[in-house]
Amino acid sequence: MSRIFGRSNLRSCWPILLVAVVALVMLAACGDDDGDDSSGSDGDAAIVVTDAWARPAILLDDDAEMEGEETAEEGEMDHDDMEMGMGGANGAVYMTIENNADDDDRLVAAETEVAGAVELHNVNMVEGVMQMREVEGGIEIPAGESATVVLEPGGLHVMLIGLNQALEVGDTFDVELDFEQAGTITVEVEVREP
Amino acid sequence: MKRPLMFGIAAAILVAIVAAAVVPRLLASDESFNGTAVDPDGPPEEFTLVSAAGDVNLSDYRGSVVVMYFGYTNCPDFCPATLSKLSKVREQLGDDADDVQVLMISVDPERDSPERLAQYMASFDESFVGLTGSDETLRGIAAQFGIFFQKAEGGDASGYTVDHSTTLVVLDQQGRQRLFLPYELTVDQVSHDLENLL
Ligand SMILES: [Cu+2]
Repeated sequence: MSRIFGRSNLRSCWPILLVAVVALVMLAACGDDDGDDSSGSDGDAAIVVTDAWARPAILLDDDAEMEGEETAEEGEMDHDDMEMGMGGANGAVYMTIENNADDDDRLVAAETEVAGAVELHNVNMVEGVMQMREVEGGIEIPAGESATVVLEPGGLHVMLIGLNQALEVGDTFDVELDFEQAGTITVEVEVREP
Repeated sequence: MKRPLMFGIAAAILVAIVAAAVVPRLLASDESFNGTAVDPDGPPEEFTLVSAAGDVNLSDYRGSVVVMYFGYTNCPDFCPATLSKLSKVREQLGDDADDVQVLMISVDPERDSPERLAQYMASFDESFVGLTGSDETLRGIAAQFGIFFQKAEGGDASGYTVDHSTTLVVLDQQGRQRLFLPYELTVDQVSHDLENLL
């Protein structure tokens, strides 16, 4: 009984399915035209950056005093390092980078007004343990469309250290990206939830 | 000849009806977990840590399902991802969320003051609590739950980063450790598991 019901259900459904498939195909076809919105450069440029975004982050106020004495052991890290890491909170910027030039390029540095410092980082998951590291020598951007480099959560990011303003959903800010070959490219970053 | 055939058909129909009625119900009341269930024997050892509001004992949260995350406020990627996921889980749980307490235990006591942790946690969900303590205490607690953390060299500006396990530790309302939730689980999967404990 339930089987007959199921079959007739399917029969009455198939035109809808067909329409859905056609719609999907059409969507995929026009997707190519309006894909790049937040591009920092036009189509012919060697380096094309799209979909630059950052997670929202609040401004942490460390003036709400902190007596580090009893917790600060383990030498190594000197106080200058500590102070810098402590201002504001940190953030991460993600984006897609395409290199249309003939030669490989490299993202070697970045800068922004919203943070005290910027580093290029990568995150690895090793047996459930998150490891975040600075990328030595910058992020390689190989030439060729198929070699698009994606900075995304759980992987590569432009790390904002010591934010000096909160990043709220809908905000935008500029980040200057320094490429070894293509020079400096400014991209607009949109703050949004992943 | 006819009788057994009729009987056979009748039996098949009956079986089909019963299966159709029972199977979906079994699937709906799925008592299994997406995370890894652990032996609830031996409640975790009591500990005392510091929040911005003062000392906090683990046993203060008896009566709530406790979700513990080990992270730090300077972490820009996995920590905010996990905490915003947990805030969505609380939304999805509706009224049941009142019985769920999310704690972040700092793996960076040098830089995470109780006040800093409180501001950070509240930015995800007003109910979230951040806890810190001495390095030794924190290491003891983490070890108890099989959580690993260790300082790693960062850049000139970041100074150091902290490698840490991303797994969530879940205690039930009786304060017994029940689940490990790996980072990869979705909002729906985590909600389902917590619902099963409530
Ligand atoms: Cu980073």
